[in-house]
Amino acid sequence: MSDKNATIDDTPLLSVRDLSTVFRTDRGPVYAVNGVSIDVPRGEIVGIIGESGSGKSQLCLSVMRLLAESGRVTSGSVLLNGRDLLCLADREMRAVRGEEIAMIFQEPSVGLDPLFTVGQQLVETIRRHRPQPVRLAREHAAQLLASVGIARPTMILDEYPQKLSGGMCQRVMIALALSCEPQLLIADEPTTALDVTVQAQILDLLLKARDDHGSSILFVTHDLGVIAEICDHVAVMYAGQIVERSPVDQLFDAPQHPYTRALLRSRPLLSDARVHPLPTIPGQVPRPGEQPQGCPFHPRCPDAMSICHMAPPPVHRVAPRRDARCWLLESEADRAQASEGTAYEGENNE
Amino acid sequence: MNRPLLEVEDLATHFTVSHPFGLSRRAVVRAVDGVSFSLAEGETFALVGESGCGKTTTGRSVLRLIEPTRGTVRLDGTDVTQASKPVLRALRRSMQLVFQDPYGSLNPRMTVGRLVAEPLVVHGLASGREAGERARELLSRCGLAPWVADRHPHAFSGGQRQRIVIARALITDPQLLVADEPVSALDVSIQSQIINLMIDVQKQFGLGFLLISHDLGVVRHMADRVAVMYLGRLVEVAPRQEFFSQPLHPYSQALLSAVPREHPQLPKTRIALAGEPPSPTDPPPGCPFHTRCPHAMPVCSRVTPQLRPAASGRTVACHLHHPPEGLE
Repeated sequence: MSDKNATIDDTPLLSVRDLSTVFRTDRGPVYAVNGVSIDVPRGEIVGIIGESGSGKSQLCLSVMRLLAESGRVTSGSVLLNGRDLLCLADREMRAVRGEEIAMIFQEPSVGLDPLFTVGQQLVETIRRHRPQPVRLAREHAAQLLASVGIARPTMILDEYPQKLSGGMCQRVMIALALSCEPQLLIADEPTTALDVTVQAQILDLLLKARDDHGSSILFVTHDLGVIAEICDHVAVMYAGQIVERSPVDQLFDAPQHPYTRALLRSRPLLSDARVHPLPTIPGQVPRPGEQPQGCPFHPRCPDAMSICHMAPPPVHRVAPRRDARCWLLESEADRAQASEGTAYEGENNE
Repeated sequence: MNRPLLEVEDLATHFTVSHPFGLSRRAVVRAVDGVSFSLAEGETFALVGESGCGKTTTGRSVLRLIEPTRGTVRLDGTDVTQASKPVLRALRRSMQLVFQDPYGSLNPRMTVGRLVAEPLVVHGLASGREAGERARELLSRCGLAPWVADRHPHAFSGGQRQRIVIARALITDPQLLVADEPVSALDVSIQSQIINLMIDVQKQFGLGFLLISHDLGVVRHMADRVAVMYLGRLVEVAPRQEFFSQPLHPYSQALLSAVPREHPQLPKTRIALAGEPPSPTDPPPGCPFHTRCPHAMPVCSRVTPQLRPAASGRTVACHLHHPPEGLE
C-alpha cells in the first residue's frame, strides 16, 4: 500500500509528503489540507483538480509558505530538490520564492502593484535576480513581454497594470514569474477569469515555458477541460484529501474513484448528444470543518457501503503513479477486517 | 414553439463614459449596436460571446433594466421599449432575470420564504398566508424542502441559493426568463443539478429562455438556437445542432475551437486568434472582427457585413458567405 516506490524515475523536483494544514476558526481547528502527498517531476505539468473548498489553493499556499495568519502546516514535508522548505528560515524562503518557485494567481491584479509601471516591476525583479544595469534589464523585460505574446512590448512597459485587460495582465504576470527562470511554477486557476480564446493563448504559453525551459508546473484548476488540455499527470482533491492520482489519459479513460467518475459524467459536453437529465452528484461539497466520518465522499457516493461511513479508505495503488482512496478497490477481506476495527493503519501509511 | 414570444429589432444601447481623469473627450461605448432576434414560447435562445461583447447589456436592455438607445422589444406583442411605467411594471411580472451571482442577489435580512414571495407582494398578486403558501410550493418545485422558507439565505450553499433565486423568478408565473450565466459561479458538481432544474421548470411552465453564457458546453446542452455576439453585434444565429457541427462565421469557428478538449487524446484543432477584441469605444470600421480574422479580405475593413440568411435555417454576417455586390 505504500507509494514510496511509486516514483520510478529520478527524484521529483517537488515532493510533498503527508502535508496537513490547519486553520484556527471560531468553530475550532479546521483541516484545509489533510495528509496530502504529491510529486512534481522535472519538466512535467501536474494538475490538481478540485471544487471550491477542496483545499487545492491552500495546498499551493502551504508549499509557498504564504498561508494566511490563521493557517499553519501541522505535519508533513515539502521537498524541493531534496531540501525541506518547511525547515527554512524566512529569509531563505524569500530567496526560494522567485528564484526557484514562482506563483501565478487567478486574479493577475493580486500580483501586480498598481503604483508602478509594468516595466518598473519587471526591471526590479530581473535586477534582484541578476544584478545588471537598468537599460539591459529593460531590454530583457521587453523580450520577456514579447515572448508571452505581447505585441508592442516597449509601449506596455510604460503602462500601469490597471490600464491593461485581464488577459494582458495575466501575460505580464507570467512574464514576471518566468523572468527568474524558476524551476517550478505554481499556477492557481490562472485562466479562470479569462475568456476561452485568451485562455487558449495562456495555456499555450505555459506549455511553451515547459518545453523551452524545462520548467515544471503545478497547475490548479476546477476545469477538467483545462486538465485534458495541458496536464501530464493529475491529482483529484476532495475535502482536503487527494482521492485519486493518475496519468492524464488514464484518468479520463478509466477513473478509479467514484468522485472522479461522477465529475467526468456530469459535465455538459460539446461533443455529446443532449442527455436530459444530466447525471448529477447529489448533495453539496462538505464545508471545511464539517467533514463526514469515514470517507469524505460517502454521503454523495452512489456506491457507498457500510464501511465507507466508518473508516477512511486507504490509498490503493493501481499502477505506478496511479492510485485512489476508495473502499471499492479493496478486497472484501480487507474491508471486513477494517470494519471489525482490527489494527488496520491503511490511512496513515503513505 | 411557433409564435414569437419575444421580438427584438435593431436594439442598440450606447453608454457615454468620461475619461478617468476627466480631462479629455467623452467616449461612446456601443455596448449593443443593432441586435435583432426573436424567441418563441418554450424556446431557449442562447447569446454567447466573450466578456465585453455586450451579451449582458442585451439581456438587461430587453428587460429595460437599462434604457436602450434605439430599437424595439416586444413581449407577446406588447412594446416593452415604449411602455409607460405602469405598463412596464405589469410586463415585469412576465419577464424575470436570474443572475450569475446567487450571493449578491438575495437580501440577507429576509427569510427565504419572504424573499421568494416578495414579487407576489410587490405586484399585488397575493399577500400574507397565500403568498407564503405559494413560496413554499415554488421552493418545493425547485427541489428545496419547505423548512427552507424559515431560514435566511446565508445558511445555504451556492447551488441552493440559485434554486431559491429561480423559485423567486418563477413565482409571478412569467413567460420569459433571462438567465445571465446562471451556473457560472457554481461548483462543477452542482452545475448539472441547476441545469437539470432549469430544463425541468422550462417544460413545466412553458417558459422562453434567453440564456446568456460564455460556457459553450452549457449552451450546447440547453439551447435550441445559438447567437454569437462580437463587439455589440450578432455575427451568427443558428440552430444548435448546425452551430456546433459546422459554425459558419470565422469568429464562431475560433470560439468553438478554443474550448478546451474534453479528452486529452482528442486532436487539437485550435484556430489561433491574434490579440484581443478591440475596445467597444473605438470599434474598427467595416466588419468588427476583421482585425483578428484569419480570412480577412480588403473589403472587410471597409464594408460592415449584415446578418443574412445562409443554409439550413441560419443567418451569418460575413463577406465570405455573402460577397458584397460588385465583388462577386
